[in-house]
Amino acid sequence: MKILSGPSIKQKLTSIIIITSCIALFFACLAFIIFDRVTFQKRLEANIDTITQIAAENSNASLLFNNKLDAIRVLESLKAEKSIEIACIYDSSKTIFATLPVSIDTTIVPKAVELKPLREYKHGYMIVQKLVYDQDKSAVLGLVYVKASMAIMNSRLKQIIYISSLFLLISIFIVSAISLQLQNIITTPILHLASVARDVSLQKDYSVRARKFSGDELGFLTDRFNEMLIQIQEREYALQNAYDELKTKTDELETELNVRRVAEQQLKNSLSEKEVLLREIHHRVKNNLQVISSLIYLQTKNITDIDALRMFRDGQNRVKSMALIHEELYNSKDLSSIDFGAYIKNLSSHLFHSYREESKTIILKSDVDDISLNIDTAINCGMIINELVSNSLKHAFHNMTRGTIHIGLHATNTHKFLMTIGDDGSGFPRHINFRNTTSLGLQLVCNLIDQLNGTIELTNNQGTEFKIVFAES
Amino acid sequence: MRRDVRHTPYIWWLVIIVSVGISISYANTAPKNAGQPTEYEVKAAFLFNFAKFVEWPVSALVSTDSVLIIGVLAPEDVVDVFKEVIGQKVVKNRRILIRQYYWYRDIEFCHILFVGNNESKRLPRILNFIKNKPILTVGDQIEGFAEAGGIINFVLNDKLVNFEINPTAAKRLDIQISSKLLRLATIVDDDQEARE
Repeated sequence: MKILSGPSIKQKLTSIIIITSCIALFFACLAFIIFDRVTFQKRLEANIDTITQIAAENSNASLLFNNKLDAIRVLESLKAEKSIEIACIYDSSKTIFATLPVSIDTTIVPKAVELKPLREYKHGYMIVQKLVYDQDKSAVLGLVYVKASMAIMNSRLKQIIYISSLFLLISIFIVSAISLQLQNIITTPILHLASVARDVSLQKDYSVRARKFSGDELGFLTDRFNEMLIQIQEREYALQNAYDELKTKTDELETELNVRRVAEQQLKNSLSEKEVLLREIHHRVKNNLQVISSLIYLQTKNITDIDALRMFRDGQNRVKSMALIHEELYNSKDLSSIDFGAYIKNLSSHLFHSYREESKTIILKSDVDDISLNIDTAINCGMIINELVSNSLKHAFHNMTRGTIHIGLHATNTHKFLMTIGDDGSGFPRHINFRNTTSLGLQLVCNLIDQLNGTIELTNNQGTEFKIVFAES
Repeated sequence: MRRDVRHTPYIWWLVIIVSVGISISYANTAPKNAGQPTEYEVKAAFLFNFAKFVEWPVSALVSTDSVLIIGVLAPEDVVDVFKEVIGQKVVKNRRILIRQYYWYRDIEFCHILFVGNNESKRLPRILNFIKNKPILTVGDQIEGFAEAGGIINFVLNDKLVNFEINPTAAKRLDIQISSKLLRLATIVDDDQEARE
């Protein structure tokens, strides 16, 4: 069976044909051998039977006239059948009358026999006995005994087996030669199909076609194979088109992406340039405001009138508060909002420095959340803090040696901010309405609150406290 | 019973004497039957066997249809032996009849004619008498029997009875002799054809 699972369909087909033929031939030979053996044996038996019968017919005169020479002559005629080894004629008294060969050892033939016909097989020998009758069949005169060897059958069997084997070998040779030629009818289309399939799979060339050899199942297979190739080719073509289209689009997108990347880079460059410029501007604005503040300060050196001096100083502080905003701005990260806590500290320390008096000790308590405000809101808030803290420093601590100013800024839960500015001084004069006063500072505060869309409340209880609520603009 | 018992020895003596007597009488004939057969007993058996292997023409068997006659031209003792050995036998559904002839005129009515040795001098006359008759002539060791026109002649070879056959003579008389018989015999021929 190993041969049948071999690599090539050619080998398989040839093997199948040879094996089948060999089996058929083997059985044919076997049947022939059996048939020959049976017929040969029958013929041999019939032959021995017949010539024994003839010898019996011919030996009656010999027995009647007691002529042993003639009996021997009759027996010698049996030599014609080579398989007969021993022959014997017995007379009516069952004793040996004549033998073949003439000088036979009488111990190897029966000394006396039953006068009856017999045919039996013993140790590869056939023993035949035929009665010798009188000429007119009236009496039994004796018996012819024949012992024939069947060994000739074995030699014939050997001969036939040799011939059959030779025949079988020649047949196998002829069958092999014929089957090698005939199997091409089947294998050629299959091998062609296989080679086309291999070419297709290796070279990915779907344009090749298998050749059709016949209209049978293999022809049908070839047709279907070619149809499949056509379909694959069409799909391949469609796939290639789709791929090309996709590739074009991808290229376009990539080009566009590159353009956008360049644009983005340009934008970034431009932005950073603008930032630098903005920072520069804030710096210059702050410097200019600083110069203005310094100019106002220099002018106050020559003023002797205390009111005028106070007015100049207020103006200087207002400019300074705005300059501080710009300073915070160009130091900040994003240039659009400032750290308001740091700003309040800077501003209040400047104000404390500006309004300091030797006899008084004023402490600032600030409670400011970490809040960033945009520039418009920050300037407004800075101005408000400047006015209100200045107010406290100027007016709250008459006749007092120490005091506290507190500033608070907290985010509320309604996206608004609560700013408190107060002191523990003498308190806001009760007769003055802070919303309607001649004081420039308070008027500014009210205007700034309006701009912020905020509200302001005054609590006059153990000092002064303004509560301002606003939203970022 | 007592008297019988008393006479028993006499009866036994009588039995013994009779037995011995019978034994002696048989002993005289015993060599004839039990031992080797005598020459004429063998010849008698041969004569009988010849009848089995010989076919006479139909005409020869018509007249006497239930017997086969063996005519004997020989002394009395030979005839007696023949009668004793084959006188009661049957061949070809015919009873054997042994007939001794004294006159030649009778010999033409037999099937087999046995010519004794003592007749050898008169042989030509005998054969001439039965010329053209379908009779199987058998000579008893007669010199020149077959040459003279006889068919079968007994011969003694080393004390064994044998015979010679003249098939030409048999054929002339339309007597058919079986090849089996011819095979056993010495074939001789007469010169009668040449003489004629």
